[in-house]
Amino acid sequence: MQTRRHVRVSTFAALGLFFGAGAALAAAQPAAPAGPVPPQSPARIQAAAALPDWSGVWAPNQADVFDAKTATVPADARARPPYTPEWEAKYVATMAKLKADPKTDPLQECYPLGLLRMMSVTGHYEFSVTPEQVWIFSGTPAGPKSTGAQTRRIYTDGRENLKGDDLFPQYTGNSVGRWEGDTLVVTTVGLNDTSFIDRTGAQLSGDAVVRERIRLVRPDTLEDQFTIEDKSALTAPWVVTRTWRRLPKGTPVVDDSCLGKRVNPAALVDAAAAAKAGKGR
Amino acid sequence: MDMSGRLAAAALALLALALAQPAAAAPAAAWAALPDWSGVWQMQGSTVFDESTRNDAPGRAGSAGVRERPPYNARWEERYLKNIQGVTDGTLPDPLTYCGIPAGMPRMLNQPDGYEFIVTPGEVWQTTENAGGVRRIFTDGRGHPANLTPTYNGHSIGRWEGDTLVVETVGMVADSIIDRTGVQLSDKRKVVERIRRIDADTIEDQLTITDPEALTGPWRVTKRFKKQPAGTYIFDYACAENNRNPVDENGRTITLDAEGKPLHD
Repeated sequence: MQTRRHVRVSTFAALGLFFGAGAALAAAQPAAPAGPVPPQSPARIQAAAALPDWSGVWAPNQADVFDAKTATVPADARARPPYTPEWEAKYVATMAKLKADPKTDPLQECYPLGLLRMMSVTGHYEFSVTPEQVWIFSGTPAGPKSTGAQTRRIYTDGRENLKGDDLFPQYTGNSVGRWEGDTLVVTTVGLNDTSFIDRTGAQLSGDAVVRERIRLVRPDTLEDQFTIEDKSALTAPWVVTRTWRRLPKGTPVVDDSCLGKRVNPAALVDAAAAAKAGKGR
Repeated sequence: MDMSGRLAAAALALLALALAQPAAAAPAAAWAALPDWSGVWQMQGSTVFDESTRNDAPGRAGSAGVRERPPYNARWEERYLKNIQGVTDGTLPDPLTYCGIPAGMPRMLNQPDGYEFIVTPGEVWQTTENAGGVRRIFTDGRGHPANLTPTYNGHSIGRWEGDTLVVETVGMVADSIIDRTGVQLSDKRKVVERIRRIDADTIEDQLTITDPEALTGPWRVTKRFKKQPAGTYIFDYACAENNRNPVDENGRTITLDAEGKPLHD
């Protein structure tokens, strides 16, 4: 595993582009002759054929407050996690801050959606299922209200959740899953404590453990039952169910661009050239 | 309820049961026909796109003299030379450093860190760790839409020729910068790829890029991706943690120097 290197690359994300980190690493690896392409194993084919059909593009059936059943919509919408008094006070304070300054929301600066927020945004969802891994892609189309996109990886290859020094806070945490028939059972740990889990500003601590049961309840309805435990922030498990409906075949998914709404690359090139020539800004 | 009513009810119940029984995504034969590209793959070579024609060692963006050799016409060559000068001066705002802008095609094939090729019957996804890119290649037989709205990654359709995925991408946004040296192409560009696992450790992508507005002939480049050990992770990518081109309170995009101070007034 290449945990530590990836931590660094992710932390100094943009800088990685400048230094061509990939090239340096590739050069450091000794060249060894690679074998022929191995045939796909019969076990993999069998496992793949048993996977459920979650293909296509999906839309959420609930609002973008994570816990829809407890949300009061629309004006003073809030979720109702069973917070400790301390975390309830923190949540109320965050809601007030958000009301006064929408930039309190990390999405305004294009930070990743993270988990659980990526499971509650309005927009499009895809669930990509393979024998070793499931990906969930969610996002809202480019435009003035775009929140960008998020990719989530759920490992179903038998590995366990990271722990000890290998576990570190991430936006989507560390998710492993297993199939119980047609139900994907997922456990996620290692969430960061800075993300908002929905647009109201609800948060969880780094101790949160998110358990999910994801399955088709009808051919075109996917359900995710969440049970969230958090020994620091919650007094009891927080149980939330969200569902998605499958959109017609061929529904397009356009690239999500959190900042695309604000930036025209071509115009910027011109602006920079003008600045260089002493004409602009 | 009479007999026919009961029969109808029973038939309905059976139908409901059949509908409630989730169908498998695809039969074994459909999966058996696909190659196994699972796991994490590392892009090889430098982040300069055209490995075969570049004339510098891998290095920092803005290294003097770094350029690629797309067969540009005179107008676009002139434009590219200006961009190279901008990179050298540190004044070319690279869209990737704005955060939140996808690398787009074909740049998303030219980023450091890990890649995934998610092969399923009907659709292939390609993901990048760097900047969190996601690209969708439809292999379900659909064509390109008649009215394409330009997007960063464009619209990709693919077909399998044995173990080779042949992809055609159109509908990419105009003028996007497709590498760190400032290569640009028009929205008329078309990217055709032949993607294949050439040995146990390597996926190869042969690209042929045509652009009637910017290029005088096809630009052919090859990117390779090396398989990483089982259990390798791709982690979240958060460009905003180190945004070099934030938007100021007046809505202007500014460029920060190494100390985080704006380069321009």
